[in-house]
Amino acid sequence: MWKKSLIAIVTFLGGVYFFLEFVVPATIPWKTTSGVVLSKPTSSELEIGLVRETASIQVMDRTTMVRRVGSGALEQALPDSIRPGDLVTVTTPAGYSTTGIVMPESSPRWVKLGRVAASKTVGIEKSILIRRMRARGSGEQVGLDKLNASSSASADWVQVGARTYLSDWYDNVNDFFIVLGSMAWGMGLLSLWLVHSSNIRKRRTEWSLSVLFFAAVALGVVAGLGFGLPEDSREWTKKLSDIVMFDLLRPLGSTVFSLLAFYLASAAYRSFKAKSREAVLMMVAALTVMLGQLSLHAWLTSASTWILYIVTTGAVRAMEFGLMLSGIAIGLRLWLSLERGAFFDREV
Amino acid sequence: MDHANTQIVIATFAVIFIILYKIFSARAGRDIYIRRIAGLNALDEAVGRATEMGRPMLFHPGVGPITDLATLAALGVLSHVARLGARMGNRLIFVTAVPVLVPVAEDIIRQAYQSEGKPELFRSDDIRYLAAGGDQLALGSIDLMRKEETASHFFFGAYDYTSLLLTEPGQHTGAVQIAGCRDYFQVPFFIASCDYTIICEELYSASAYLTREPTMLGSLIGQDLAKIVILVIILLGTLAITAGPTVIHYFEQFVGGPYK
Amino acid sequence: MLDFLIKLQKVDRRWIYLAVAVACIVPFIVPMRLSVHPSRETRGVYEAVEKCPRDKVVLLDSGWDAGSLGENMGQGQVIVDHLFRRRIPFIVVDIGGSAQGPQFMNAVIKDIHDRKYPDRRYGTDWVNLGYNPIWGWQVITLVAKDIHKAFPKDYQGTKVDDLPLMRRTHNIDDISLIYTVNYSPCEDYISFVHGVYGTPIAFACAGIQSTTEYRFIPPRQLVGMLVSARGSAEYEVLMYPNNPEMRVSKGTELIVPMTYGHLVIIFGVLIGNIGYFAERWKRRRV
Repeated sequence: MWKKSLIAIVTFLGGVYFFLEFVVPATIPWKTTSGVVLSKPTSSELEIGLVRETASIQVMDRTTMVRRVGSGALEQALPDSIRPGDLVTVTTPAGYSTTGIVMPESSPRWVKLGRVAASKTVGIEKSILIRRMRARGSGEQVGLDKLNASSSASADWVQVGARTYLSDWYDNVNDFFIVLGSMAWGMGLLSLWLVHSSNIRKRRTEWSLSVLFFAAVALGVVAGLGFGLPEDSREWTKKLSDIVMFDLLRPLGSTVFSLLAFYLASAAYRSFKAKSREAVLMMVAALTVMLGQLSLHAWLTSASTWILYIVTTGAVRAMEFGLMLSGIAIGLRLWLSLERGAFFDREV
Repeated sequence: MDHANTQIVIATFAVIFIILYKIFSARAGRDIYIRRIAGLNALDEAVGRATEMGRPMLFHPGVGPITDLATLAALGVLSHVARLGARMGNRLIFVTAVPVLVPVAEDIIRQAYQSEGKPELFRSDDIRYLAAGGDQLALGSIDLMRKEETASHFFFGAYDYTSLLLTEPGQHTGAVQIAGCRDYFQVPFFIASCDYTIICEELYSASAYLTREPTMLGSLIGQDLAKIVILVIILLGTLAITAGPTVIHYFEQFVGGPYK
Repeated sequence: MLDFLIKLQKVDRRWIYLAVAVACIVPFIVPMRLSVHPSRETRGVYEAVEKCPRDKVVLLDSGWDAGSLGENMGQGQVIVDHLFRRRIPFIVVDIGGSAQGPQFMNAVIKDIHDRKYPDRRYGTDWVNLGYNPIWGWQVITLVAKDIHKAFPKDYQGTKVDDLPLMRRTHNIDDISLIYTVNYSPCEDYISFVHGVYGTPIAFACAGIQSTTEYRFIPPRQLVGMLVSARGSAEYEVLMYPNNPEMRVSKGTELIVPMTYGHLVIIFGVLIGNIGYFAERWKRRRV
């Protein structure tokens, strides 16, 4: 019983970090200052301009944006690429221009511009976290040396505040998963060894294929010595590597994949019958999409494109919603050790 | 990593609350109804057919790793099929391309035979790690289907392009084939070559459907309720975007938070 | 006549296999060309590459192998051709794809380099950083933050700091476009790179996989997509609109047998249905 409790506690602790790291902001909200970096920061303080909104402009097809960069030059900016802190001049199709600093609440369809209303100097201590806002997303942690500052051109929009310390461990936890993933490779090799060596020892049916397996592994290891050598190398390992890769694996892999074409044809011939209304609908959609890919007629191509972009998009998104919610439910059950069935119920 | 804004935090806690509420109310004894899923009902029939014909069954858990939810769901179905097979005294062959699944499947199937009082029928040789890749596993499985003359095939889990490589030759052997797959682009291949197909989310609900365990059923209802909430938001969004750019802008700000 | 029509739904599958084989082989023996019209998704990728600045790099995540060579090789060829032509430097990586990915991509680059652009230099115009076995957001976010940490050496074992191109490429700020060629590209690029940094992403994937990726194009989460051999054939039409003899990628080579294969399958479906309806009619008459 205590083993099950221990597993439950460890599982819970393992999941709680990621959950908290996601829902808890990186900095304490009421101790966070948000604004544009006005001047090059020193090691002990950072001057931030507090921006007040002055304009909110809808971005339409002929709306243009020009961004002023650090060197004073002007460059065209696309709605998708503007970042909070950019100094842009937005010109509407009617010809009205507004200049201002892009605020974080902007989106590709609606730009909010502002002006620096006041400045605030924030002291930099060890407990302070600086997050730079990107084009979208909640920002990334940066050091003082990476910040772009300007009072008359595009600069970085930052959130500076007392850290909640959760994000500090993120890279370490990430590295842990990378290491864990690499360990699975060793496990696979070990398992193959155990299975095939047991076949040979006990002389099971087709044990000779297990011998062939080990021979193939040895060939692969030797051929791998030639991996990474320059293309014009004359080493025999390079030649062996090329033979294994391009003269063995490539044709074998292509052959297996090409079986699909034949199986697809026979499966389609056997089962695509108009037995019901849904089957007719499926068949018509499939034939339209297939014929539309062949550039036979513009009408077919348009119909095919409509099915792929509109109908398929809706259907796939609907299925994704269901899958994601199921994933959340299963994840929740696993995290809180509420999962039942299979090996979750057994005594440890 | 991205952090949640206020709306996402509210949505996260709301979904968790709905699911947990339904789990605990199901545990408290509330009656739960879920609709019939033909493919899962057919599992009993498939096991029975194989037993009558005196031929073994084949279970293929897909090509996903054990950390994949679809593979975990497949193991839930494996447990049920193994128990049925043990009860009827039939043999179940398990094939995989994931080495970690071998001891897990062995444990599940051995437990199933022991719980049905037939531990002597369990054969560890029937848990086979055939190859490291999905396509090699498919070729090995086809060979197995022919040699062992399997009468029922069960394909549950995460599949890639090798799905048709498995099911089409299986169809030619005359076996009953039941498939359940998370990957919707493989579903058409399964539909074309299997007798029953369980689509996407139904795979995740398979354990709940088969075990009728209150926790699982409650979780299923909870996620469906959450889906209804999302559907309402989608409908409101559709109306908002029809109403004009200003309305959709404020709706986006209200529901989704600032664009970041 | 009715009996003949009913028999149409019971054709031995080996005749179908033969028909598919003949339909796919004949175009290799009798050279033919089909007119190919670039689609919206292919144009999106082409225009994105045309807009890439020369002072940034394109990240090419290539994880395909022999299994999906027919679909992905042409997609790799056309993008390398375009990048070389525009003198845009690129970095090849393989994050979680096939272990053979770097070698297959190397062969593609070598072929195009030797044939058309012998003056391009490895280390300056392109680098191949090799394979990382971990699939998903962990390595992708690491590449976005610090590519040197994710790939400290190239596929030949040279330290990345010794490569001129890598000395000026450190993180996502130095990358103008991410182009993923794989049987099934990793969608984490969309959430963890485009969603956070706004970097344009383009996919090049197998036909069957493309149905699930079309949903990313209308909201511009993907700038475009190359779909199967058709995508690379269309891309070559955009690159060489007036020179069909310059279109020599795998995609252009395979588009004709692919088309005839599709037509055989469509024909098979139609005759199967004719047989099915004939049988139904006969049963009703009886």
